[in-house]
Amino acid sequence: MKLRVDPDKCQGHARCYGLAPEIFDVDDYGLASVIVDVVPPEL
Amino acid sequence: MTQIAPVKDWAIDFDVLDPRYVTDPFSIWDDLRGTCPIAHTNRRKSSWLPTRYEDVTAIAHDIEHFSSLKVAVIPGDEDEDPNADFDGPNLEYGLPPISSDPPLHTWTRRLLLPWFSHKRVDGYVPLTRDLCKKLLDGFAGSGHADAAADYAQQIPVRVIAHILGVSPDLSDTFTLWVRDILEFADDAERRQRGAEGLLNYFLGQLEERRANPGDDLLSELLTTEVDGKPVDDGIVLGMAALALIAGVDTTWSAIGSSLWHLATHPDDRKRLVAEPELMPTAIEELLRAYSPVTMAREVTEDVVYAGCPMKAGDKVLMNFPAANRDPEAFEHPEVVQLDRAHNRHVAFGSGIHRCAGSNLARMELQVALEEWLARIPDFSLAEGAEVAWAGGQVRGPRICPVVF
Repeated sequence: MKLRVDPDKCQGHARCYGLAPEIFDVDDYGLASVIVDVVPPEL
Repeated sequence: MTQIAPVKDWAIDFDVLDPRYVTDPFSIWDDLRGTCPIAHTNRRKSSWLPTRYEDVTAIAHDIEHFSSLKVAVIPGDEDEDPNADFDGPNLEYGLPPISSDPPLHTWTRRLLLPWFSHKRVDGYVPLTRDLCKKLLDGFAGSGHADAAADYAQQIPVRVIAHILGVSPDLSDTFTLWVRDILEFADDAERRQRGAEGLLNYFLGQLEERRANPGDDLLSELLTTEVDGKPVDDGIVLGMAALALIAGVDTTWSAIGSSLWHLATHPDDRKRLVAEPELMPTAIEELLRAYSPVTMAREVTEDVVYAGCPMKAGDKVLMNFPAANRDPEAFEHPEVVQLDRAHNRHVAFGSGIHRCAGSNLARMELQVALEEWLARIPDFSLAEGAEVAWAGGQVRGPRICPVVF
């Protein structure tokens, strides 16, 4: 599975990073990005 | 203190300081959602009170019609000149970014956010944990405590003092000022005492920090440049005051409400002790069910919203706590489900003014509950205990006697 963050919709809650830091990173302002090419199957 | 005339009709004459609303707003919101989902009052100031998730979030996102220049739920003297009784820098901008619209909102928020980022907040965990352990050392052996005053109230103020770089020894004074401003805003004397105390204190800190800058938020605000210019002293003062005000009552109330819930719901308490891996969803659920914070917006121009003729200057109370209890948005919202998976609550607001300190608040709440449950897994309300709730802008228990 692939994953993409829509930067226009991201509100900076950083919940994705809180729940799955293996997949997401957030910058100083809470805006998220995906740090893996493919989501590992175990997740 | 102003006497509150009892409310007879919540749809047309609500009062968020009515003792019934402070103690049990939930049934009032449920009634309103079914009959008049956006209530109105002329008490203090013409104000509207949405109770549905959809309305609260729509209004939060419509910054064109709903300004944040005046965010106090209890209006106080917000129409007066803020510099009238204050011999210091220009305070006309209030407490940015919360009391501002873009563009001031945008750059002041950007200055604050990095201090409350996930990674920065991870660095405040040891301090918070240590603080909780010390507080517990003080009463864990005695068999009883006030979970609100002896514990919840003591935690966030010290963490935010650390971040701001001001003395935690003054925590009780900070708490007093913040309560004067938020909780007792209907009392002109107390409101003024709190505002003067806080502003004059930070004014002194500004001078001191300018001479001896440190590794703290206040120092950074004083030394940073925006568009090649230093930040105006009045704005630095407002931002520092905001960090303290927003960082004290709110999280303290969330910790207190959560402990009250666990004291009164033994099944949830036992489950959380037995299944600590539930903590992340439990935190979100407790935030949803007992959201502490209501903010206000000011209507910028006459507008009819959902059939309500809102006039320029009216207040809209951003009823995030009621939105989080809306059955259209949450299945069985009246039930606390510690493992609730789908939980898009708005305890931290929604839109451009969404809480800047939410990562910090979540961390403080989680660490405070973890440490409490590790030391005192079995506790309940003291028999015949009178729990005292505060309400208005921030709802939470102020006295919550428990035994263990």
